[in-house]
Amino acid sequence: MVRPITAKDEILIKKCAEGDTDAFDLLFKKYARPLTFFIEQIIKDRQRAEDIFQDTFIKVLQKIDTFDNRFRFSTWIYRIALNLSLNELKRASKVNSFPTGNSNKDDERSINFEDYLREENTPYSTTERKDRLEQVSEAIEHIPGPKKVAFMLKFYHNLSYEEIADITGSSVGTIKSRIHYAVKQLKALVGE
Amino acid sequence: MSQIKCTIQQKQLIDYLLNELSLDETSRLDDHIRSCKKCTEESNNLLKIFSHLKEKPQPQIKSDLYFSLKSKVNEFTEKKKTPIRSYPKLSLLLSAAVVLLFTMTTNFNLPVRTLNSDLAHESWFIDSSSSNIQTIYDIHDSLFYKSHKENKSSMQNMPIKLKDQATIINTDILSDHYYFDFYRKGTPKLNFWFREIISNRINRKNNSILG
Repeated sequence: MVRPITAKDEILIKKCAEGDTDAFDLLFKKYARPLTFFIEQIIKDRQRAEDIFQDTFIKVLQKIDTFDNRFRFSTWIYRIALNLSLNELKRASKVNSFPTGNSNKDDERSINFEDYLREENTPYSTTERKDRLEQVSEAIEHIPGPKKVAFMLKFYHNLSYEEIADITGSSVGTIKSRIHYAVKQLKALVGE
Repeated sequence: MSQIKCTIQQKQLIDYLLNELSLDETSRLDDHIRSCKKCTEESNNLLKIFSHLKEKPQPQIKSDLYFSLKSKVNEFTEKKKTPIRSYPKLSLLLSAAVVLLFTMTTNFNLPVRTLNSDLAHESWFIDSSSSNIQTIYDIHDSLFYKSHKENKSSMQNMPIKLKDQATIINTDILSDHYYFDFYRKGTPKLNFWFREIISNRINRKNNSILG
């Protein structure tokens, strides 16, 4: 009888590091889409998000021997992706701090590291009529950084409070209050 | 719905809707929401927002990303295979240390262990998109039986049936592959040969069905 059990990603990544292409395919299939999406939501740049996803994968290959089996592999890989994304924001904000003459402060895509660290909201104004999905998506962009990360991991990646706490290095209580805040905020912004 | 005094906070409702409460708390809120108009309305409002969130599609992944990462992974594995090539002196020193250690600890009267008698860890990924598990078992077992008859020395006393040897993993994530994880006798080459033949035969079978 076929006994379905959970695949151990750490075994797959070790196989992948030994050159097993089937293991690579399985891991790629499992993580490429959600992780690229997650990174893109933080740094707001699809091309860079793909680069950071690749860096994340290679870093996992390099560090797999240091992986602590008491934790979940999936939270570990998300944590690496989050750290690399924050480094990218930090790097980008240093680059952006030099006046180039063509920066556009109103451009929603020009998020920087300081913006990420900010706990308050950006002023929100909408005059156009948009469908509800677009309205919700736009409202999410106005949730401040750490709360948005917790919020995305909960709603788009279906992770538990505990897993999100592992990824972000925060306590479960902090994650709870960030998500409560973000939902409250979203509710106010979309006027439900 | 009778009016009762409501002490439930919005954050409790959020945790309830996100399945983050204990069983006891969930059941308490179930009962409460059924009899509290304010909480029913608030839950419905929150659910509307949550349903919008679920509609947001994740981006498609292009094949460029797959090939780009695959080539980086290949580069990594190649580097890993030859880590001390650039340090010939260190390599020489290590070899000498290994030989010295070997001569100091080996009892030459012991029978020499060969690779054939060792159990090797095997992980096989076999495409299962249009073949069932029984087909894989059948192909493996008939191959093994044939090999066992032809070359008894390398596979003595081994169970022929793959079913008895391997743990099979086939979750939703691995929906188009079977993943077999087990220990078995035989050289790596022989085990590799087994896996390849099984995969090839399944592919041939799939092609003939499609053709």
